[in-house]
Amino acid sequence: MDCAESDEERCQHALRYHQTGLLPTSLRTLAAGRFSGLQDIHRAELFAIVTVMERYCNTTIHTDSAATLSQLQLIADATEVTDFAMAPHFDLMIRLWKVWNMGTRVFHKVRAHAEHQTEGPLLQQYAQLGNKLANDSAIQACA
Amino acid sequence: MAYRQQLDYKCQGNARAFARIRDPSQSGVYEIRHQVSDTAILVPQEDGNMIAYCQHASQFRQEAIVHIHETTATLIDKDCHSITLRVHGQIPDSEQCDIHQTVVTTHPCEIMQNLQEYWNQYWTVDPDRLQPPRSFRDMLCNLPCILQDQPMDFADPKEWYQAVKMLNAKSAKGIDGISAAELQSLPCQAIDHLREILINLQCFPSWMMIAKTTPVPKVDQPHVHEYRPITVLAQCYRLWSKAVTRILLRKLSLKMPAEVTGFLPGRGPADATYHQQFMLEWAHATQTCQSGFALDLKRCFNTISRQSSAMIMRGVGIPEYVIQVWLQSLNHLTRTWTVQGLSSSPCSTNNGLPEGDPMSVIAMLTIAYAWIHHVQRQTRNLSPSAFADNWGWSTTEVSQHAPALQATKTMADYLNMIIDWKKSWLWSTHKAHLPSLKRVVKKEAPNEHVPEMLSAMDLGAQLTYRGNARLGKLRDRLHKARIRLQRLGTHKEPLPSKARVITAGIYPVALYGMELVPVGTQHMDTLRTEVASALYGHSISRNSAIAIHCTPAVQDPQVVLQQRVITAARRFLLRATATQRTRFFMMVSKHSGAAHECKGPAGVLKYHLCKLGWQLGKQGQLSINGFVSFPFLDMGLPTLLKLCNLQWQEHIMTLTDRKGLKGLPPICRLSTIQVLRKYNSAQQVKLLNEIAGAFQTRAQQATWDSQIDPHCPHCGELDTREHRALSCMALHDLREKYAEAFQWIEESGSAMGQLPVVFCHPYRECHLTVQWYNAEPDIEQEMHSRIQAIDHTGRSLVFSLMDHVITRHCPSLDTPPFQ
Repeated sequence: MDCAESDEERCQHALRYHQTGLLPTSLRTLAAGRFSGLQDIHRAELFAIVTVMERYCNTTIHTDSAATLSQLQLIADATEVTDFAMAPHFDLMIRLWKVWNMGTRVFHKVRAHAEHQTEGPLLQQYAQLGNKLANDSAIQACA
Repeated sequence: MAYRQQLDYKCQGNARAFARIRDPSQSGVYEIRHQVSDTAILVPQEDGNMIAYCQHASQFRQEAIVHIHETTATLIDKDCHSITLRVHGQIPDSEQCDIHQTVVTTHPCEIMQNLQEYWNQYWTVDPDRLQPPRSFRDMLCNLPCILQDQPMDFADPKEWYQAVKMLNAKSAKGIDGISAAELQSLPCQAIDHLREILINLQCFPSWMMIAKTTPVPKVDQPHVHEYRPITVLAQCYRLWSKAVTRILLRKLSLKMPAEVTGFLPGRGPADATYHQQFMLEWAHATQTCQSGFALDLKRCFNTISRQSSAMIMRGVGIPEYVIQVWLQSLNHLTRTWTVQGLSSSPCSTNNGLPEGDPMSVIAMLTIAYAWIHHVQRQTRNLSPSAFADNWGWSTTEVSQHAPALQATKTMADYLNMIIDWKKSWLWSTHKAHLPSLKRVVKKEAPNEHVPEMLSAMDLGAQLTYRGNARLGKLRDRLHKARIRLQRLGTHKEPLPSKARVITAGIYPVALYGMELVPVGTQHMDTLRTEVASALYGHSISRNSAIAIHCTPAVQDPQVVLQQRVITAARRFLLRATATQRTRFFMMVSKHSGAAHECKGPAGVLKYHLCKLGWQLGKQGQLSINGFVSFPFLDMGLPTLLKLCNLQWQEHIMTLTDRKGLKGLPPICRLSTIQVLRKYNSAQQVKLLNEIAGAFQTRAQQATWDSQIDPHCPHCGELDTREHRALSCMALHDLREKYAEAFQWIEESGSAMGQLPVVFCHPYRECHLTVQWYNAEPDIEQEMHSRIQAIDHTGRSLVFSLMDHVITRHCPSLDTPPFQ
């Protein structure tokens, strides 16, 4: 969970990570675990989005999965459920469809495994650290 | 050669490999057969010849043999009323005889002349027939205008760029000499310029409307009517037509009634036949008598009156600009035949639409719409359906056939279209309607015989109207697939290329339409053996099911068929109405699963679900084992297909009679293939042959041939697969490198010596069940409440994901968001 109060603080956290190697304390794991159904990474990614979107209305989600974003684009473009009926994980997409218009939904693509890169804006580096924390937590949860 | 194959596989999408398995392309047009016949009175002459007096003596030619019944004769001389023949054999002792002659025309100019004479009857009609009668205009007054007030921007540059992109780069050049590939290489500015020129044309000039017409034979030794005239129009016209049609089709697909199928997205032939067979199945299930007609329109596009179709297009709401440019351009249309590299002089036409022109598709769709509307106005409780030149209807009220047939004939007359009674049929789910149906035909088409069909091939699928489902012409498809497999078997393509060709070039040919008919196991067994032989060469001892199961990128035909059946059912149900869904699920749940009771797609689905050991309830709940069940329509298709694969995996070891393999756990396809991918293509072939038992041991050979010693020639032990893998002293030094692995095999009691694959986990079913019912992860209550409080303020919450982990962090990032 991002407890940072401002972008300034986030930038400082990113700088500190490159000096000390310590992940920002402002980023915290919200939930981790296996999901129901056949286990595969795209479903896991989509399931996490369902978990967030069903609980909260105003969300900005960062994912490193382009495949997931393309599935979400299908929902965004759809006028009815059958428009994405042939998509994989239709069951999860129906759940997303139901809550899609509740509040503001924003999605971003973030580079995976890029936490060591020191180029680019500090806020971007901070986002990559979020991705790293997510990755570490996933590995730990599935171990 | 190897480099060429590699290039084909890596850079050209196996195009060469695909081309090599297809049927050899039709040879050029070198001859036209033409049969003439007459009834003659034969008068013997003193010199031994015969004079045959007949009505049309001039049609016989001297260069071909004349047949008098079965006896041959040479034509020596002819005049207006008789031909003189030298007979080679005995002729029947009767006053009158039937004589016939097959004339073969080979000169290209004569061929072109014959073709022009034949097709001219459709392309140039009497001027009186060009204008439709008054009643046609009255009929159009009642036609609802479905495209009224629809905004359409035919000058939209994006549509034109897309149209250029969609042109077939390999299509032939038209009279303007421009190829599609050339247009595709143009920059956007040049396309814009071309668009402006074309969009401002009032009509395409005469020189650009010269249609190159190439005859393509439908059979081996074609008669003049057995050629299909392929029309190649100027590329510029094709581009204009494509760009305009793309916009129109998009609008029409939203507005056209469901009865109009074909040419529209999501309304392909497979959807149309699936729906029709479902309706038939429901009629059988409810014991309702349903009957109908399936009519074929002769030379469809070539006979359509341009004026009439333009009037219909106007009635439907197609913009006047499009109709004017199209109609005036067609009025300039002339045709030139191309045979053996020669071209005939352009001949003018005043009737018919060029086949292959996208605008002809729009015309056909609007005609179908007008026909459906007209028929529905003349009848009640009748369901018409139109797929291009295939029109038909079904009803439970037998009295409605007469007005429907009458309305159809009227419509055909308005448009100069001809109903091909020879290719049409009538059908009924019960005999009760038959006498009335035949009476209707006798009244409306007194000189024609329209057969009743119990089962017929329509739109590429075998429809069953009455009686047991039959494979019918689907057998031909299986045969064609087998021929392709045999061809593939002789090619030295690498394994991945062969796998790709089988998946994309052979299975679709073999299995199309099998969603409507139950296909017996023996057909799939034969196909499986042929697939394995094509991949790995011929072997009498190899287990084809195991070989294919462990092959990367190709699946067993039985699995592919089951997956196709599930996919088709899901596709149909997702588009169906709630009532249709309920009916479908009810039929599946009540069906016994026996092949002889299958009357349609629901029965066929049950037939295949039974093979998988799955149950589908009347609420649409699919149970795949004692513990796992889920709504059939809510589950994603890939998950369903994956579960189908897992079920096949369980079943596969039952397909072997080999004692050594009995009782072994299932082979894990995923893991085994992962290991095999470490090897190159040639090594994979050898390994898979070994896995599937293609190489016989001496012990195996000795059971068939008593002269063979069953012992190992190297160490004297009994030569078995286990012996070769685990204990033969001659191979000891090879095993030494992997001592740990062999020790594990010995200690764990693994069957890898018998079958060198990765086996499934013994608790796989338990794992699946546990995973299926995994509880959703909880978010700590306190944290959840805090986040919810922020959420209620309207501030955006930021999360990051990796598999199944959620964290919160900042919003401003490198890529633009979408909402």
